[in-house]
Amino acid sequence: MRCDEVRDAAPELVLGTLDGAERALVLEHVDHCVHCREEIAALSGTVSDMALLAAPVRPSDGFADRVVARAATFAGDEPAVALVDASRRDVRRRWPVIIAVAAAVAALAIGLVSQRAAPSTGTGTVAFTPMVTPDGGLLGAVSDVDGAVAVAVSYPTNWPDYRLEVIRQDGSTTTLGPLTWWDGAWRWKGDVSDPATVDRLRVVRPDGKVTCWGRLPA
Amino acid sequence: MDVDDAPDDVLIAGLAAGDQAAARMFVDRFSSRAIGLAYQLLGDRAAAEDVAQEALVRAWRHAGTYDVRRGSASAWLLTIVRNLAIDTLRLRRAVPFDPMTLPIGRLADDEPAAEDEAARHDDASRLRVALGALPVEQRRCLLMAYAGYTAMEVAAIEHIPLGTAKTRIRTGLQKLRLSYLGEPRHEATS
Repeated sequence: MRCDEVRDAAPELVLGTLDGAERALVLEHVDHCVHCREEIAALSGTVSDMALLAAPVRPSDGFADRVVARAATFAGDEPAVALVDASRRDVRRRWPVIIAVAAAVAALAIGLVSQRAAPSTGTGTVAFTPMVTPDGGLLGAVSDVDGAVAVAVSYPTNWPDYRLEVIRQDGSTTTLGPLTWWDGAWRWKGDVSDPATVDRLRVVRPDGKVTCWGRLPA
Repeated sequence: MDVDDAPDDVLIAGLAAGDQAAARMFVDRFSSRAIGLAYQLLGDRAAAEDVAQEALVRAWRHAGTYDVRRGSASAWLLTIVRNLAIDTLRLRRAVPFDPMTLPIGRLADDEPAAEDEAARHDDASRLRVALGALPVEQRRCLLMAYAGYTAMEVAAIEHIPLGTAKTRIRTGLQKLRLSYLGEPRHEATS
């Protein structure tokens, strides 16, 4: 992507309405282009400031108490609005994106196989499930390689604070650790205890926004 | 330092450390702005409180990940509010409606405001003046995009080509930025 194309797409990027494939291309560019990165940072600041256009609204009685009570008993799950099964959302219109990213996911899966092939004494079989964005875009894969769990996400950014969390069926959340950049993808691998109790895995940004999520392969 | 006087980022540090007084002050300080933004995007008081509550709880839970170098505490929280409100708004789109009927849409109809001396020293006022100075078609497209509508959706609603929608969003945001930044910035947080 060229600088002029990135600057054309920058407003939609900072407004959060750019589709997954184009967003990935823009982020890949800004990863190594200081000028575009600065332009995007400036526009992003303006979008943040647009919140000032909203007049404050006085909370109803007891609002603060309800927030405090909810925070105290919070089970660590996402709200229902963010947990609609993204993989079922409007798949037809996303086929071009899915096809485009599928190749990347396949490559990631192959990378996972080769990553495990040398030391593995097991069967070498791989099962993987998709990691999808809240909008239903395919972003990576969860793999089960001879019992070890590996997550690979093709998110081209130099923001190193993404973390992988596991959400259990009882609603509890545990951080498995940060994703690290390796061989062209953000990755995590390791053991996940009690896999039968796992509802899903998710990648979370430092601001709490869920980047993508996926389930353990059956 | 009394917690009442604590700067926003200190409150967040208190949240991360599990300080109940800091948590309560954080909620008290930001609730009305969080609800206000959610209401502007949703036009529903109850839903706005639900979204604001969820955002505050998330901020509380993830306070340890807040990085002051990436922006003010209020910008961080209000970004969470906006994202949650947009998610909620998307769920409503099974029934098509004109997003300009939402409270945020009223901003598109505002007459350009004269910039007075007071407005020069208030970020919200300067931003409103800058928005009001945009051509109304750019204002509409920008506000719809702010409410989470893609350029393709904006094009369909406005009955304009996709390229025109993208241009209006891009030009509107860039003009807003240039106009808004015409004066020295002031800290936007309380």
